Amino acid sequence: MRELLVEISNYIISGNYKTIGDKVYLALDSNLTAKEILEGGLMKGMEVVGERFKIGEIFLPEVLMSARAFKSAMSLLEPIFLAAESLKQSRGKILLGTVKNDVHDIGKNLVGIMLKGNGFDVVDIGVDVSIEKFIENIEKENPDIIGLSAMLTTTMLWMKKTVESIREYFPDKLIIIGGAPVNQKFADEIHASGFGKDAIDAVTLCKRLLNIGNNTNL
Amino acid sequence: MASLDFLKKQKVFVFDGSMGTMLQTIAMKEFLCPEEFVLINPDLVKNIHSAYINAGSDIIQTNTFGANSYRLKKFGLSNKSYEINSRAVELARSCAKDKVVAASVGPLGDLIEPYGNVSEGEAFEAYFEQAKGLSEVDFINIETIQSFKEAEIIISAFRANYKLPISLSATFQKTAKGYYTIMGHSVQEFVEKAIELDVDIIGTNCGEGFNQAYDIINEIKQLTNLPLLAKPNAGIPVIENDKIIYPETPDKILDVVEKFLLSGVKILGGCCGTTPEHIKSIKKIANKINFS
Repeated sequence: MRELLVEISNYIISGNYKTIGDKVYLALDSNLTAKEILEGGLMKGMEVVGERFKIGEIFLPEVLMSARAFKSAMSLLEPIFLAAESLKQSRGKILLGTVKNDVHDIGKNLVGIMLKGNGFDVVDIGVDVSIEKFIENIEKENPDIIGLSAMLTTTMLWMKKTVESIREYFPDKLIIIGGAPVNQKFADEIHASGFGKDAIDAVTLCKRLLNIGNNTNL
Repeated sequence: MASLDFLKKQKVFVFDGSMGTMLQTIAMKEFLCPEEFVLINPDLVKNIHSAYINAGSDIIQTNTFGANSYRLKKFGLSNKSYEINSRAVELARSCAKDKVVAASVGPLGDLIEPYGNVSEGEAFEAYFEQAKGLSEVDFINIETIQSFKEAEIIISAFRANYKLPISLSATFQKTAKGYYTIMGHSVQEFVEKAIELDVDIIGTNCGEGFNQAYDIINEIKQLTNLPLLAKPNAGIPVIENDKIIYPETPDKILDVVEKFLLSGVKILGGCCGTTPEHIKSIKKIANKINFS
């Protein structure tokens, strides 16, 4: 059974999205729980992917393939978790959205998958998200961290306004930002709680903000 | 014209600056698709083209960077691809008069298989449709390329329509190992791919400013004799007093522009954050070189 989890983890690492589902079914048939498959297989794999990306051993295409494999495996496990929510422990809830007047979502979606792959709950409220919609959803979901994405330089201004408005309603919420035109300096300027330069960095950032050590077991 | 014969007429050519940044600044007030301006506010698009021509652009490009059906779909305009592209060419032509008109073609905006759900065939269809609307330009400027697969699909879709000259321009980021596209292609791999795809012009655009683009162009130059094109950003933007400020201002780029044009770049313009004022700076140096 251990071997099966290692295999699943390797399928994640190599981005084998077409057949990872067969392995997940096999694991479930072998009486491994969804939680064991997620943590011992999928998340283990995603951790390796993150490490390899950080040291420049792999690039975005490999990460995208792994993300896709993770997504297809998760689509089989999610119904099980939904049926018994208590089975799954979360490292925290992250609410993601691309700010107003911006419809870019490739980066944000990848951040969402990488966060899920590292044990976070992710609520993605889409693109072109108005300040009102952010506030409404923060109220409803009560996330631990809010992640704002922007691709256009012009929507950086919306990012600033969105951070300011969220802070008015929820002064203590952690807000992180990412996207092509933004950097740490800008994050400091608009008083965001952090900046992630890519999807892997966003995971590291969320772990740091929520005081989750790298080797912490769930 | 439909050939690159014009390149023989001058030592260096001035391209235009950003269309997107200027339109988006206006579109901030109400949320609109930048390419849709060619239908709903053609005068605004023409004013921007004319501002670049007046500033000294020898080449301008159509407002069609994101005018493929996948990007347009995000604005509910997926069936307007032909209309937007062909209208954009008309507008650019009417301002350009005897100047050269290039077609701006950008990435799909969605991930292609195996990374995403868009099949290669669907991506090809989207660009085939866009190409139909762009038939009346002088060359096709495929820009902000990060993925070779995407570049291959775009080029095959255009060549399935007609044989206009093609410029291929990639966007690189500085990493510890040198310049790479987001999809992990090095400058050398990009040059090899461009040669394999038999493009007519090679270059770099967007990125982190004129100085980095200068480094990248010099790397490219070591590897090919193709004409070189650069359209860099005006640096990495910062926000000051609720305004977006690009650090590489028209007066600050003069030195690097001179280095650029003396080093053998054939076509130089600007990407995000550049304005007609930047183009005036480039023109000033270009005139010195062309008339010396």
